[in-house]
This record gives sequence, structure tokens and C-alpha cells, in this order.
Amino acid sequence: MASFMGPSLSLILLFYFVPVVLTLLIAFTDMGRTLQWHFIGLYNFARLFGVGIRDPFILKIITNTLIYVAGALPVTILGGLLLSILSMRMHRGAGLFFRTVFFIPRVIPPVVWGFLWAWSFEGTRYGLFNAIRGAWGLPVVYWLIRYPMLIVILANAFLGISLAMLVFSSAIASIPRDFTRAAEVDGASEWQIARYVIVPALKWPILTMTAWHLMSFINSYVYIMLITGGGPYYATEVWGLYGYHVAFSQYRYGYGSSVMTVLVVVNMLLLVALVKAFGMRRMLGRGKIEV
Amino acid sequence: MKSLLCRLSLIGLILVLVLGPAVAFAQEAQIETITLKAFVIGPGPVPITKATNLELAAEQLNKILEDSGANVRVEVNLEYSELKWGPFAEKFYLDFAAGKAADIVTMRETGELAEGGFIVPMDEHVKAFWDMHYVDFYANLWGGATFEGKIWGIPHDVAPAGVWYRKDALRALGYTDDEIAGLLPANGDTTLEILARLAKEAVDAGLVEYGILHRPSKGSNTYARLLEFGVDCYNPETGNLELDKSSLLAFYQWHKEMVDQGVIPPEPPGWSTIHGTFAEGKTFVTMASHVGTPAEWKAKYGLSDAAVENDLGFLPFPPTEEVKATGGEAVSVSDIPLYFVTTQSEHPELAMLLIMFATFAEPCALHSSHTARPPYRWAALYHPLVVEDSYLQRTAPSARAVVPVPIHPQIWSFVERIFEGIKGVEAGVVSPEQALDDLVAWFQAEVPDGEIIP
Amino acid sequence: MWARARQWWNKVASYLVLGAVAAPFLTMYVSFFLRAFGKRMYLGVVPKEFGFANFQFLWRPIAWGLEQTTVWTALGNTVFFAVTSALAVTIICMLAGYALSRIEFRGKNFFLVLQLFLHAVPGQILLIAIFFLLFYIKLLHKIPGVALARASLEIPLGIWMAKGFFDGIPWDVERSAMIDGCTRFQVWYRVFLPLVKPGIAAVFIWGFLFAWHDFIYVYTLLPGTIKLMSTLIQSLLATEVIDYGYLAALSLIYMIPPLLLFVFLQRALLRVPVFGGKGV
Repeated sequence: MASFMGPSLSLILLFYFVPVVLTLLIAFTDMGRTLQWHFIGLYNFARLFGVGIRDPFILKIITNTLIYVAGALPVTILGGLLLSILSMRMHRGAGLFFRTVFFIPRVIPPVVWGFLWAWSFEGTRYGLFNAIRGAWGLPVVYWLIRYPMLIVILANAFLGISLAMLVFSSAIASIPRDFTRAAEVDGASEWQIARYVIVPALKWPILTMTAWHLMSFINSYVYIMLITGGGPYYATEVWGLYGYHVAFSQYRYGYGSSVMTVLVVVNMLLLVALVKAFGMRRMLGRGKIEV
Repeated sequence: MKSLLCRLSLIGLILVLVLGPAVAFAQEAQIETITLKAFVIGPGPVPITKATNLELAAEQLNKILEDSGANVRVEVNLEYSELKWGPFAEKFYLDFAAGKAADIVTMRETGELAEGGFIVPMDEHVKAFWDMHYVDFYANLWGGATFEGKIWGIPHDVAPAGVWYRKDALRALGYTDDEIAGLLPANGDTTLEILARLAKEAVDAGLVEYGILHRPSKGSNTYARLLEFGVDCYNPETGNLELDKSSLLAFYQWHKEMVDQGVIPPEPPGWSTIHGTFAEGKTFVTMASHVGTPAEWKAKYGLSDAAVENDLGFLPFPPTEEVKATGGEAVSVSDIPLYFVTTQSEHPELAMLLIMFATFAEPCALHSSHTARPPYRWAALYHPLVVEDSYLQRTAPSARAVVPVPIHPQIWSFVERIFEGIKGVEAGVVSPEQALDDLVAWFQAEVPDGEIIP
Repeated sequence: MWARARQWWNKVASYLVLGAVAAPFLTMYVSFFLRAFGKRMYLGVVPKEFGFANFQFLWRPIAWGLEQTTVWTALGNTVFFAVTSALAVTIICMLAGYALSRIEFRGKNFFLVLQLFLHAVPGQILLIAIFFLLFYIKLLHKIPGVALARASLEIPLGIWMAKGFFDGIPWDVERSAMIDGCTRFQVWYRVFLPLVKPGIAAVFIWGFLFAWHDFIYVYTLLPGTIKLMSTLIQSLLATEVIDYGYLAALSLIYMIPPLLLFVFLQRALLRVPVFGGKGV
């Protein structure tokens, strides 16, 4: 029995638990590029929370992260709802077509998704949308400098939409036909059907998708890194990205670890809150989320 | 008689047969081959001569060892890396932490390495061989190698940065060659404002796409441009970093002005755009290159020799009017990478000797001729390779005017922060005043013993 | 009359709305595809000349910055990385999935809860620690080490998948095998694995796909001298060559192998009982 579970358990121990502890440990040091380190206690955390000295960029980064999550989450959920409801209402082939189009972000490599967005919104006349504008005689727009946060929110939200739409569509498909038929017979409009039949039936998927993507967006930074690199002058630098940059671009592993530790703690708190809110049993029972 | 003779010869034969190989073997075994590992950075493939010079040095060193009858030979195990400075340093530190660092390494972070105990001071060695070898090096280059009064590494490469501009754009605007020489003399005796004005004229006339382009990331050119505004970043008397608020504000404001006037684009383009457009004549001034860059333009971007001769002009970074008025001069800055000997080396003296041999006049001339960078020592100027190369002859003096980037462990983080501010100001995301305030806040938090000048 | 107009409007509105939202994306996808085959673009979208010029990296080294590399090296590295990771995921998940499906042991529920918990600590957050972890076990900067780290990220859900496949096999198979005197391991190896071939294929593709697409682990934990397709594309995008046709062509080549693998394993996957999702 042990040999069956052994490998997976050891790997999980090695690459999940040990790193969490290690991140905390490194956060108490001043490990830098030279890989020589000293124990400095809570100094890194003090700098994060503005006790004594303060990191001048932290406020901006917290704001960025909040804006990012607050922007991406509704777009994901509402967009997913919109797309799934509309695409399920229309002709089967057309619905399938649209759902495929919006599922594409999830099957292409992250680098390519990032490349697509970076190319489309590039600030010279070689960027896709600027080239199209140029064809109509319009001047170039420096998208990534003027609207970096918007672009980054959209890029990530549509990735979230691909999953949300899938989950919602499956759920809609399993609504018994009689419900909608009955409502139609009673003379309900499309809008009313959507509002009073479909959405309530989707209550559970909506909640799980919200929870899932909330955790997802709080931690996400890879696409932001690929598209804006943190945006012009920290405009799109979110918490996770800041931690990454501090550690791997500035080579301050100790400080970077403290940034990541805070994120880990936030995640844990969030998970506890969600579990309490949803109840453990129901999560296990219904929570089969296929990524 | 016969039997005695027979017995003697038999004994003699046995002796020869047995002892002969043993003696020969013993002699063989006395020659020890020491392998020195060298980790050399480009970056990029062009300066590979930095590495091959070490091999050359090994050959010559072995010859001398052989002639002098020593029982030691040197072999060099080269690892040449095309990585950039940052990742290269990271790899070095990883190797060092694993106990597998090379004997010789080329880096530029003298302060960080010396403080951390990664390298061996070469002070004694340099003093011992000063008169016969090191006195010939350009004096200004030792600044980059000196930390806390001691010399830690040997210079072997200098790429003086400067301003390259397109004369053909000026001619198209109507300037004669004499006028051009007067406005932008080769010794840099002009001002940044004049340069910017000419750039604006070229942009307004539609002759070029970009007026002035600078590096998309921090580098020694960035430091040079700071010096244009009188921002030294460093106080040599106290050895601390220095933040000059008013000059930095002027620095940021100049960038904003340039973007507003359309001379500098709000988003710095990538390297291939910078080099490509300059080689094609679509950029008037590039501040992202050094003396050796034409080699790259010729090789990769199709610039012809004739074009380099006739259409390109070069000058060190000119100061602003304000700085000039107070006695400032044009500056050139260079990364001065150094050959260091690591503390994990088991044969430091031998490594130092190898480095010495790798910086003779011949390897220096080979390096210059291959990379189009000026020699770093006088003797190389008389080497046939350098004498015959008109470009090298023309650009040789620039190496003597080079100011090294100050040696302080945090200097590069500081320059990087300043550069982040440039990007923000150019993008219009932050005002020059705000960028300065953020910089000051960072400085106060990260550089506790730094000095702030209003 | 109004009712019919409203009916017509209701029908059309969905198409209009979805069409409007999809339009920019379709533009992006189509031009991306076209851009790979065209040099100069008309209207920014339609290539003026078609050709394979952008694909020349297939037979010529790529000059990026001052360095040179071939796409084949990058592809080879990526294949090595993805296969190693996929193998690790498959073997480990097939073992664990069987155990969870069959063996009653205490703490089973706990394990399932654990999976949920682990997803709250995504790999990209632990990168710094993993960097040092791999360094201390001497696997940093080496493809097998990073592949192992990457595999661990897919294991939680991979086990879930594998368990699903094993659940579908009736108990009798096991009983008869064990009566015949096989050990648990032999039962697993000789009897079950052949029965869950679709499952093996599915988990393998799962692990392969995620490793093939991986960027952040490879970017951070492998040295700049070892390039995989994702880091190659990123370095071209971020630093040197910004010829978009080139990048588009490279990206297309990058996306092909997983499709090939899928086609290759498709027959094995066809008889998959668990993949009965509706929608796409």
C-alpha cells in the first residue's frame, strides 16, 4: 500500500509543504544574489507593512492587486454567464462555434496567449490593432501605456471565461427541459427565463466559479508578466508579480519570500473562509471541477 | 673472465631494463598539469577573444615554464558564456555556493565580490609586476578595479560608450560638413541641448522616425547620461551613494520634454529596432551603443564600411548647458569587466600569472582587432594589427577618457531604480516630480548610509 | 406584429452580441495564423504575399540577439521536458489512483480534502522556495529536476482523474486475480493497467500538455542557455527580434506537437467513460 501512495505523497510533501515552510524561512533572511545570507528576523515583514522603514511601492501594488481582482472576477463570471446562456439559446452549431472560439485561450500555451495580446496591442504601427487603425488612416495608440490594467484584466478574464462558460453550459444543459418549456408556455420572455429559471439553477456553479477564480486571480501574474511586465512604472504590478520581480529580477530572495509568504497566508485565510461559507461536505460532493 | 663479463653485462642489462623505464617514468611523473577553470562572459559571441586569450596565455606560459625547467604545465578549461551580466552573475554565485566556482571569472561587480569574499585581492601581484607589465595599462581603467584601496582584478576590455549620430540626416537638413563638425565636434565639446535641438529638427522635417533612442534597459550608458546632468551617484570621499535631487529632477524633466516634443518615443523600442533603424538611417541619434558597435551594425544590419566612414559621427556624451557652465566636460563611460581570481581557486598565483599573460600587448591587439574596441594599454597601439586598422587608430583615444562606473555594491540597483523612473516619465504614467519622490523614498529605505543632496 | 419583431430580435440579438464579443478574438486568431505565412501585411491583417519565409527557422539557426540557436534544440528540450514530466505524472497518478479507488484506508477523505487545499497554494507562488529546494538537492538548472517539480503540480488532479478510471472497473476482476495468488502490485500491473489504457493515455496527455505549455517554471528554474520553446518565444518577444511573422510561425510550430500526440493517442482515448461532458 505504501508503495502505491508513497511516490505521490513524497512528491506532494517535497513540492508543496516543504516550499511553503522554506518560503517562510527564507523570508526571515536577507538572502540575495550572492547566496550569502544572515538571519534578520522580521525586518522584511516590517518593510512590507511600513513599520519603521517602508517599501514605497507597496501601497500602489496593493491597490493594483485589488483593482485587478475586482475587475477580472465580475468580467469572468458575468461574461461566462452571458456567453453560456446566449450560446445555449441559439442554433446548436452556432453555439458550439462560439463556445469553441472562447475556449481557445485555454488550450493554447500561455506564451502564445501572451504573445497574441502583446502583439495586438503593441504601441508601434506593427501591432495588430494599430496596423488595422493605420489602414483606416487612424493614428497609432499606445495601448499598453494608456490602458495597461484594462488590457491585462481582459486577457486574464477571458481565460477565466473559458472555464466558467464551460461549467455554466454543462449546468444549463442539465436543466430539465420541462422547466424552460413550462416558462415559455407561460409566456415568459427570454430575459425572464434567463433570470428566473436559468440563473437560479446555476447558483451552485456560480458560487464555485467565483470562489475558484477569486483564488486564481489573487495569485495570478504570469500573463501580466508576459504582456506588460508589470506595466509602465508599476501600473500593472500585482502582488504576485512584485514578489517574483523582487526575488528574480532584483535578486533579493529574502524580501521576495516575505512578499510571497503574505500571499500564502492570504490564500489560507481565504480558503478557510470559503470552506466555512460553503460547508465542507457540499464542497466535496459537488465540487468536481475539471480544469 | 668471460663469465664475469657476462655476469656484469647481464646485471647491466637488467638494470637498464628495469630502471630505465622507472627513471623515465619518474621524470614524466614530475611534470604536473594544473587545470585552471575559467568562466568568461561575452555577453554575446563577439568578445570571444576574452576567452581565447586565456588559451593563448596558457600556451605561452607553458613555453616559459618548459624553458625554465619547471615541472608544471597549465591547461585552461574554458567556459564561455553568452549570457547577459545578470544571469551570468547568478550562475557564478550558484556555482560558488555549490563549491564549484571557476578559478578565473570575468565580472564587473568588484564591490559585491570583494565584500562577500568571493575573490582574491590581486594587489600584491599587480605591485610585483607593475613595472614590467601593469604600468602600461591606461591609468583610468584601474578605478573600476579598486575597492577599499586595493586592486582586485585586471582590466581586459573597454567599450567606451558614446553618442552615435547620422551625418546624412544633418546634411539633408542643409548643414555642411564643417558646420556639423562645429556643432558636434569629435571631442564632445558641445551641449546636450544642441544635440536635442538637431534631433528635433530632423524629426520635424520627417527625415527620421526617431530623434534620440536610448537603451531599453539600464547599462553603463545610463550612467553616462546621468553624468551629463552632473549626477555622480557616488561620493568618492565618503564611499557612499549620493542622490542629487535637483539634478535628477532636471534629468527626468528633460526626458519628459523630449517625449512631448516627439524626439524620444514614449516606449523604448527593443534592441533590434534601435540598431536596425539607426543602421537604416531612420534614427538620428542612438545613445545605446559604444565604440565597438559598428562591428555589429556591419555584421548584422548590413551597414557598409563606407557608410560608417562617411555617414556616422561619434562623440562622447555632451554635458548639459548648466553642467558645462560649471566646468563639466563630455564623458564616456564603459563597463570595465575584470579578470578575477576566485577564493575557491586552489592555484591563485598560477591563475594570476595566466591572467597576466592574457593581457600582454599581443592578446590585447587581437581582442581589439576582433571586436573593434580600443586597446586598453599603450603597447598594443604599436602592434601591426592595430596600426593597420584605421578605425582602431581613430577611436583609440576614447579609451583613455573613460570614466568607470563607481564601485559600490548597490550602484547598479540605484541606476536601475533611476531607469525605472525614466520609463515611467516617458510613458507619461508618472510626473518627473513624483518619480523623484519615489526614488528618494526608495533611497531612504534601501540605502541607509546614502547621502541626499537637495 | 410587434411580437414577431420581438421574436426575431431575440433570435438575432444573441448572435449579434456574441459576434461582437468574438470579433476581436477571431481577428486576433485569424491574423495570427495568416501572419505566420505572410511577410508584408495589407490592412494589417491580410498578407500581401504568402510564403514560408517566416518558417526559415526550420532550416536555419535563429539569430536572437547575438546568440544563435536552432528551433530543433528548443523542440528537443521541450519534448524531453514534457515527456519526463508526463511519465512521472502518469506513473505516480496511476499508482495512487488505484490505491484510492480500491484500498480502504483511513484518511482517504482527508486526502481528497488535501487536493482542494493544495490548489490554494499554486506552484507559481512557491517558485522562490522551489528554486532553492532544487538547488539544495542538486537538481536546479537541469531538465529532469524541473520536470519533476512541474509534475508535482499536476498530481492532485491527476490522481483524481486516475481514480475515476479505476472506479469504472468492476470488483470481480480484482477478486479473481487475487484469488489466483497475485500480490497487489501484480494485480495493478498485470490486470488493471491494460484495462485502463484510455486512462493512462488521458493522464499522460494531461501531464504532457501542462508541461509542454509550461512557461514560468522553465523560465525561472532553467538557465538561460537551455531554451525550451516557451522561453524561446518569450525571449524573442521580450528582447530582440520583434518580427511578428517569425514569432507567429514559431508559435504555430510550438502548438503542433500536442495536437499530434492527441491524434496519436486518440484511439485509446475514444473509449473513455469519464469524458462525457456536455458543451464543448
